[in-house]
Amino acid sequence: MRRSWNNIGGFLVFAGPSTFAFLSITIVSFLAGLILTFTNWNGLSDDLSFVGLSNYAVAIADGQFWQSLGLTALYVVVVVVLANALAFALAYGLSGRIRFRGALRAGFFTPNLIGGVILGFIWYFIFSQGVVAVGAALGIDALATPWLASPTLAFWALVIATVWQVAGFLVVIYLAGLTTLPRDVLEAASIDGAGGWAWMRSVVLPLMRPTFTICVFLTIGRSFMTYDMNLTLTNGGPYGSTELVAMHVYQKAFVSQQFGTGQAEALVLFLIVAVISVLQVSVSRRREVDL
Amino acid sequence: MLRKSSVLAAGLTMLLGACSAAGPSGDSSTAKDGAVKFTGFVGGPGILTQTQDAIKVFNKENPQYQMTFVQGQLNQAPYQQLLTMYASGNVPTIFVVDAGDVAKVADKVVDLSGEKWAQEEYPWARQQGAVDGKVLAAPQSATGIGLAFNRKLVEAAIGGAFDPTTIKTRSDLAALFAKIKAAGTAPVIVSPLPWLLAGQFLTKMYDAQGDDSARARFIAQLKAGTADLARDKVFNGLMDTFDLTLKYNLNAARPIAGTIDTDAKAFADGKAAFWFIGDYQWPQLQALGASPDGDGYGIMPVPVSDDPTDPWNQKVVATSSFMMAIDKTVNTPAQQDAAKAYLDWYVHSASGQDFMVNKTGGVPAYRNVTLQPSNPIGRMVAADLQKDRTYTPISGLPADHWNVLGDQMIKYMAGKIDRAGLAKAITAYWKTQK
Repeated sequence: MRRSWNNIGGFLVFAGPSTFAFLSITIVSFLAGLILTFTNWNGLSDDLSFVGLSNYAVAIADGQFWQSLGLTALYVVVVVVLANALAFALAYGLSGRIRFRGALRAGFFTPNLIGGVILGFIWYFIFSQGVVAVGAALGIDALATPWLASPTLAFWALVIATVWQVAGFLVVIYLAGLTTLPRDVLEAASIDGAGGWAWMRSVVLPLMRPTFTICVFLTIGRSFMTYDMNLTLTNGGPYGSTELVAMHVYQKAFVSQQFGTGQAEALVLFLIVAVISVLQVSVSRRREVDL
Repeated sequence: MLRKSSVLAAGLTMLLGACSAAGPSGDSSTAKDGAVKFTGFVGGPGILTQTQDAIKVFNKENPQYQMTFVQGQLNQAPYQQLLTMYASGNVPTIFVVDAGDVAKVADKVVDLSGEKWAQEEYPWARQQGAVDGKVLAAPQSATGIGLAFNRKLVEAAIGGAFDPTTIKTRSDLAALFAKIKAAGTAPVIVSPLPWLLAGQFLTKMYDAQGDDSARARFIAQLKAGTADLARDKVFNGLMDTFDLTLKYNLNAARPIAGTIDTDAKAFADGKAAFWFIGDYQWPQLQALGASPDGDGYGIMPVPVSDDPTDPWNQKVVATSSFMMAIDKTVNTPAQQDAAKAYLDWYVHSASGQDFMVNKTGGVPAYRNVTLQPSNPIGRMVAADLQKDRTYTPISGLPADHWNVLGDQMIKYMAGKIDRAGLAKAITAYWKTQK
């Protein structure tokens, strides 16, 4: 009995604060949000009434929601592939003995230290004025067209800025993965004559699978929920063509002031992201190499 | 065991301490010297430092109060920010909202009908801040919206003095644009901004329906789906003018490429003679080099017909830039009184008026303020207000009207939809409104 009390005491001391924070910040707000989906609250009023499942019906009938979800799915696929490919390539390059390695590592990580809002503003100026000025000065018409005024180019502007930000963070994880690769296996492979592409494909990549699992998981969650960069870089424009789903949900709640519907859409988004993330992790885990 | 439990107790104490620090903090509304402390979310983007300076002056002149400035976020409407402030229970004593949002905070704010400044408001301003006959909010200043012009460029093109009241019809405007173009200058800038296009330009299709009851009838028809925009005289007249401005647009080759910054710079640099905007944009124009002296810039109405007697062709929009209201739900009566004193200072004291007119470039919405606005566009709006050459825009549009229909206007500019498509989108939007 005394021992179990001691255990509880130990738990409270070490995990209590974070459990409290998790409960009060994540679980309570999640439940409050769930309740909100059954009401017609406008965000401020003291009066609200329960409206059953009508918010879900409105959310499911909201064509713009599904459109932005589709766009987000495309964005996630492109960002996950490009960011991880770039980050792995950079990490692989930086893991060797090259000059200015430390400075380069720090340089690639820096974008991640700047908030998404600021990054969005920086890239906004690059795409709306910087690139345009260079294009106009050099007489290159393709560059003189502001990217953010075209739905397709604005989408790619968003991808480029996100990949640039996320890759720096992933580089650190890939570097950690690369440095912990078992030396004996690598040596054995090189004695067996593995080199070049075969070395990469048959030795490094399989051993790096756990790192890929983590990085892909992180990128999926992060890019599905992209809001800050979307807000400051394209603001959903031109004419709503780059409105990702997180932004749509926010607009529904705060701009259209339909909190119930916005929250119902957020819940649908949560379920989709949760299912995809769980599937991704379980599939990737099965393919990992046990040593 | 003793040590373990003392660690446990210490941990819990810290946790509880953190909780209580996050909660409402006791009697914090009085400073050590007895001054009433209160907070003000009263300065928008562009006038942040001016507002901070004004609050310092207010505190100095009124030592019984101690006002603290609450800075908002730059690209969010004040009402959106209020939602989070109310949700967290951390509500400034006095805050700004857009005129259209006053009704939404009606049950949370103080009735200001008895205040001295309320008797000085222009009738339209009083109406914008009133709900059910009670004055709930005070206008920060008036702002005029229309076709801002660069007098030098217009006069160079027409070879003489320019009197904007001579432009009585769309054809007059078209002839003027043609002359300006012939003189080698771009006639006008149309900025592809949702808040400008649907929040301030398209709204004239409701405004010019007539008085409040005619406007309400039109909105009711739109909601019921019985309004026929294809045959609506006002909508078509306004769109004809929009087409005219698009034809003569500085950015006609890339109509949706402009941003507020690039277009403001182009206008300040004299690249175009007209710009559809409000005098609220003056601080940025001045920062970009436009001179506040003389009458180098002005503003005129957007004509919506070819009838020279049409009153809607002769009046610019005048509205409140922001309305200031005082919270009564979490702020104490002493704090509410302090905020009332701030409003009184703002409208009636010399330094308050200096802040309102000289420092922020505002146009007074109060009859007692006789200072001339510090910028030429504002001076023109002030003169129009005094001559009754302004009208008040419709209020109570749905919160996402500017956003949803603004995107449709930009699609129209980009040539993705035609007028019938735009009319269809507007009709479809209104049908979903309750």
